[in-house]
Amino acid sequence: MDMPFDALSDVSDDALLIAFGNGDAASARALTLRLTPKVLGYAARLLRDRAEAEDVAQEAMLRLWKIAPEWRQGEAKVTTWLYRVVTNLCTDRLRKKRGNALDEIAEPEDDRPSQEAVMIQRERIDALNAALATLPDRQREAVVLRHIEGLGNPEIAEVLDISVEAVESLTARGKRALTQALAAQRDRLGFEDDAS
Amino acid sequence: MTHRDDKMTDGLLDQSLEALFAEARDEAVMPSTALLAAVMADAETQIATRARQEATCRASLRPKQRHPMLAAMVAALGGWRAVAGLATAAVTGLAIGLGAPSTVTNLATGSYSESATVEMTSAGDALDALVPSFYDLALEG
Repeated sequence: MDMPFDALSDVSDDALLIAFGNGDAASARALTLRLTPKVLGYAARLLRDRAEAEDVAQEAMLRLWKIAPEWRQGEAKVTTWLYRVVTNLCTDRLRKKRGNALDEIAEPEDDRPSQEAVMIQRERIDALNAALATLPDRQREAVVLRHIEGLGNPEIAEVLDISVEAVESLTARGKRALTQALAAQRDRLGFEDDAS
Repeated sequence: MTHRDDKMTDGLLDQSLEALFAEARDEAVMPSTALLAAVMADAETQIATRARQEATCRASLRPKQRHPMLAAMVAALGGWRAVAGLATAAVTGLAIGLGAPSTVTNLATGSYSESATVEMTSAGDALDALVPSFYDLALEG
């Protein structure tokens, strides 16, 4: 399928969604190109499984298409709504997967190009993802939303349906736990080099 | 001393963690063409489904088509206005016929006179004579 360039880049998500609700396919295309990478990236970080993340991304986008006719401009941010849907979908899937061994979940992906620098970076990111996977669900969601997706605490509070103070507490505890989880691997991951 | 070393290590790790977050942020997870196509296909299905639902809704709101025979009869009589006029005339005629038959008869025959009134009165008496009164019934016991 030939995907044209996002020509509606100046139009807000809200406006595009309302236009789609009125039957405009061009708006759907713009939203697909704009939002699917975000949704997929977040789902992939929570699930650490590309195939499952793609399923979640498609399901979340389908829910967005379905809610479009009832969407009211200014009521909520489209991305906040989507992050919330993805969080819930991922939580459901992770709960179902709880029977799997932790080692199996934490195993890094190994399907990247073999260039040394890329491999080192890949290894570092895999280590981060593996450490993230050891966190409790809420802590992981809060840390990913805050430090990787770059959301502000009030928006994270809306996504996770908790208070801003709870978000601050979750991210602080999450970061502490990540630091501890990665401390054992600091030589292998070259952390000292970063700090200097 | 050990405590100070721990704090330094924590600081280094914290900076390293921030660097790792930055790397993770830069690493874009690109959706496959198949996923984008599937998402677009879902959107198009939704548009088509909604269009169908709206068409069904509009069809149900549209006035129903009348039976062709009835429509032909109405047309033959000159449209709904003519039919309404005919219906009004028919109802008026029926009301007059039921409400005042003798008056209509008299007017129609042109025999409205005093004698006719007398005849009507005597006809009324005759009718009374056919029905036994309570007085008669009392006398008979």
